[in-house]
Amino acid sequence: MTAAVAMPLSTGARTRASARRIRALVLRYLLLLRRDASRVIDTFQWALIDVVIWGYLTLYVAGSGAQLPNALAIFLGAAILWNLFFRCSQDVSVSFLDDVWARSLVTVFASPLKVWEFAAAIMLLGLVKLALTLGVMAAAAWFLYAFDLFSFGFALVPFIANLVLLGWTVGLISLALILRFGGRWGILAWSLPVLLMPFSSVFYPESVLPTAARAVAQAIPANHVFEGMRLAAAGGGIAWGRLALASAENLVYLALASLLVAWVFRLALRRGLLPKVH
Amino acid sequence: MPPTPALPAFSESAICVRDLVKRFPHTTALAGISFELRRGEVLGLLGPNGAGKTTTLHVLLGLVQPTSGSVRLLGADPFADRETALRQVGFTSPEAMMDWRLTVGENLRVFAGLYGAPHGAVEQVLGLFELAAHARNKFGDLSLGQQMRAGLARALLHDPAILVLDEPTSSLDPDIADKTRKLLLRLRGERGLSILYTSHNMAEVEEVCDRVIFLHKGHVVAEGTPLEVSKRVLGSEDLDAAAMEEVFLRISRGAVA
Repeated sequence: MTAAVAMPLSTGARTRASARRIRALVLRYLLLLRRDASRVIDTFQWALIDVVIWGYLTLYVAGSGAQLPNALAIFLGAAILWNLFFRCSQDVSVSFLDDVWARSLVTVFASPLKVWEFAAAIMLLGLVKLALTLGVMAAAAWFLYAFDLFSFGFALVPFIANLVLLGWTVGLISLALILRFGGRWGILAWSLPVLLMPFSSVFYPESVLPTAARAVAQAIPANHVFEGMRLAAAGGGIAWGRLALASAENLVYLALASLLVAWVFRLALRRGLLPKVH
Repeated sequence: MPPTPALPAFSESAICVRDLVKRFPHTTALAGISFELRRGEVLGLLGPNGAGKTTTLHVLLGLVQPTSGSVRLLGADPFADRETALRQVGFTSPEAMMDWRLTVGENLRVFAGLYGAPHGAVEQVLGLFELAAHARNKFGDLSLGQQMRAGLARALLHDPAILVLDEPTSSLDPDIADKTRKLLLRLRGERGLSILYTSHNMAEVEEVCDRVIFLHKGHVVAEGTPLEVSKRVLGSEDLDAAAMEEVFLRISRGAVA
C-alpha cells in the first residue's frame, strides 16, 4: 500500500469502523470465555454458590418459624440481583486486567482503537455475560427451590437495568484506578463493588441502618433497587420514586465515571503509563 | 549534535518527526529530535538502552503524548486523528504481545477486526510467515521465535503503508531471522512499505537499513546512510558489521556528541 497521504474517513465510515472494532473486542473476550476454563468457573461458580447458600439459608430461616413472608424472594432474589451487579462491575475491570496480564495493552492500543470503543466493548460483553449468568441462576433457583425469579414481572427490568448501570460505573472506576496506579491495584476489581454492599440494603431493609449509614445509603442506587425489590416482593407494586432516584443517581455516576476514565487515559498518555501497566 | 537537515513537508514523508520533546517527571527521554522516514525506505532507529528509541516508537503509535513537537504518519497526527494515522501502521515488538490463551488464528481474527483487514487476510499472513500449521495452537504455547513471527503476521494483516518494527528478529534463530529480513525487504519492494526498524544487531542494520539514526540520551547524534555514519564517526571508508558495531560502541560510550 502506497497512499500519498492518509485520507481521513467519512463520518459514516468512522462509525462503521468503530462498530467493527467494538465487535472485534467483544469477540476476543467471548473467545477467552471458551478458551479459558478458569473464566467459565469464575463466571458461573460464584453465581451458583450464591443460589445454593442463600436458597438453603432461606429455607432454614423460613422453617424455623420466623415471620418472613416471601423469604425466598427477599433473600434468594436479592442474592441473584446482587450477583448480577457484581458480575457487571467485575466484567469491566477484569476485561481490562486481561490485557494487563496478557501484556497486550500496548498491542491493542497501538491500533486505531479509541478508549471509548474499548469501554463500550467491555460493557457490552458484560451484558452478554449477564444474560448467561442470569439464565443459569434463574434456572438453578427454579430447579432447587421452585423459585421463579421472573415472578417479579416487569419490575425486574428496571431493577436489573439500574444494577447494570451501577456495575458499569464501579467497573469503570476500578479500571481508571488500575490504569493510574498499576496492575497491583487489580484487587479493586473484586473489592470495590463489595464496599457498596453494607449500604445497599441487599439482605436487610434500609431502616435497620444507623442514621449516618442511612444517609450514605440514600446516595447508593443499589439501595433504592433492593428496597424497591422488597416492596415488589411484598406485593406493594413498583416503587417508582425509588426507581427514578436510582436511575438519576446512576446516570450522574456513570457520566462521572466516564469522565474519570477519559481523564485518567489522557494522564496515562502524558505520563507514558499505558506501556508500563503490569 | 549535527545540524538538523531541512525536513520536507509533512505529506511527503511516511513518518515526519519535528522537534520532539518528551519529559517525564524525573527524566527527559527526548530532547527535541527531528527525523523523517521517507516513502519506501528502511530507517534504522538505533542507540543504547535508555537512548529514547522506545519512547519515540510509543509517541509515533499514539501511546505516549509528547511534551512538545509533532509527529505525522502519512501526514496524519496520531493524537488528533488516531483513526486516520494508525490504520496505516503495522507494529510489532517483543514487548507487545497477543493473548496467550487464544490461538494464533483467533488472535489474528481479533486484530483483523481492530484494523479492518480485508477478508482472507488472516490466512494470507499465516502463509506468509509459515504459521499455518500453528493457527490452532495457543499463542502462549508457541516458542519465542514463533511468537515473534506471529507478531509480524499481525503487523502486516491490514496491508499497512508503514511498519514500525521494534527488534523484530531478536528472538529468532539465525535461519529464521535471515528469512524474515529477506521477506521484509521483499515486501518493501513489492508493496512500497516504509519501515522504521530498531535493532541492536549491527550486522542486521547494515544489511537491512537504507539510513540510520543514532539516538543518545534523547538526542539525534548521527544520521545518514550506514556508510555516511561510519565515515563520520570512524573516519573509515569501509563499511561492514564490525564497523557499525564500533560506531554503536563509540556512540553508546559518549564519544560522539
